[in-house]
Amino acid sequence: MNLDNRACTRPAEDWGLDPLFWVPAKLFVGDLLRALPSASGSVFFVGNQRAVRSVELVGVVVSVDARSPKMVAYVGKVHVVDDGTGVILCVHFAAQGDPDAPPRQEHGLGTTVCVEGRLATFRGERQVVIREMRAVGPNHEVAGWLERLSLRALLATAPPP
Amino acid sequence: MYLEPGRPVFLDELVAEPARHVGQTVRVTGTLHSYSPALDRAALVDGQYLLGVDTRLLGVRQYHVGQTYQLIGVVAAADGDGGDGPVPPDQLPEDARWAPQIALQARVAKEADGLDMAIYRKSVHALRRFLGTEPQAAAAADRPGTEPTHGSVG
Repeated sequence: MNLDNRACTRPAEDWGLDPLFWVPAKLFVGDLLRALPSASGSVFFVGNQRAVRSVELVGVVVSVDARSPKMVAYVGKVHVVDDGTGVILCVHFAAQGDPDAPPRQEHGLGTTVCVEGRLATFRGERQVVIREMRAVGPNHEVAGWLERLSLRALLATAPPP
Repeated sequence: MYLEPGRPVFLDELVAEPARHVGQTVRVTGTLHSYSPALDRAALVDGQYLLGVDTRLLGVRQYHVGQTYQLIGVVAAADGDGGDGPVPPDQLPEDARWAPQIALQARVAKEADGLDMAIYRKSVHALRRFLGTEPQAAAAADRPGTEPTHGSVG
C-alpha cells in the first residue's frame, strides 16, 4: 500500500519543527521514488505532510556504473541500490582538491549496503547523494525492513508536530 | 531507471506457481545444492524445494556448495527436455520438489550466510502485508491445513 503523500501546508520556516526534518528518515526506495518534491527541490514530503531532507536506505547493490573517466573523477562510481520495493541511484560527490575529504566508498555487485545521504532529483531522476555508504550483514537488511515498516505506519497517519 | 526491483520470493512459491512468475524480477534465498561450471547451471534449495539457476550473467566467481545465497534475477521459461534447461541434480531427497519449466537468470548474487531464515520469512510476509503485495497463494500457504500443488522430481 503506497503512502498517501501530501505536501506540507505550513510555511517553509516551520518545516524544521518536525524532528524528521533533521534526521535521516528510514524509508523504502519505493517511498523515496514517490516522495513529493518541494518547490525548491531540496525537501521532499512523504505521508501526512512530513518533510524529509536526508534518508537512510538498506539494499543490495545491483549495478555499478563507472561511466566516463571524467565522470568517475567527479562523482565516482554510480551505485544502483535495490531493496525489493524499487531501485535508486546513489552518487558520491567528492570535494575537488580537498585532501581532508573522506575516501570514496565503493562496493561491488551483490553487497548489502546501508546508504545515508541527501535525497535529490537530477534530470528528472530521483537519486541519493551519499554521505556514508557502508556494507552490512544480511540480518541488518531484514531488521531495516521492520524499522521502515514501523516508521511508515507513523508517517501514514501522524501529522507533523 | 531500466532495472526492475527484485521482489523477495520463496522457492516454494516459485515451485507452486511457476507460470505466474515467468518474466518477473525476483530475489530468492536458498542453499547452493550444486553448481556446474561447464553448463553454467546451479541449483538452489530451500527445504524440499529446488530451483534451477542460470549463472551465465554472474561471471567467474567462487561458489561454495552448502552456503546460503541470495540471487536477484529474472524468472525465465526453461526448456525442460534437458537441452538448455536445468538438469535435476543428483542426491536429492525423495520428497524434493522443483519446477523444471522455469529457471532463474541470475544477474546479482550475494552470500547470505548467517541469515536467520525464520525471521527473514516472517519479515517478507510482513513487508508484503504492509505494502499490499501479498500473493493469495502465499497467504493461503501461511494458513494451517493448506498445501500448495506442485510436481516432484522423478
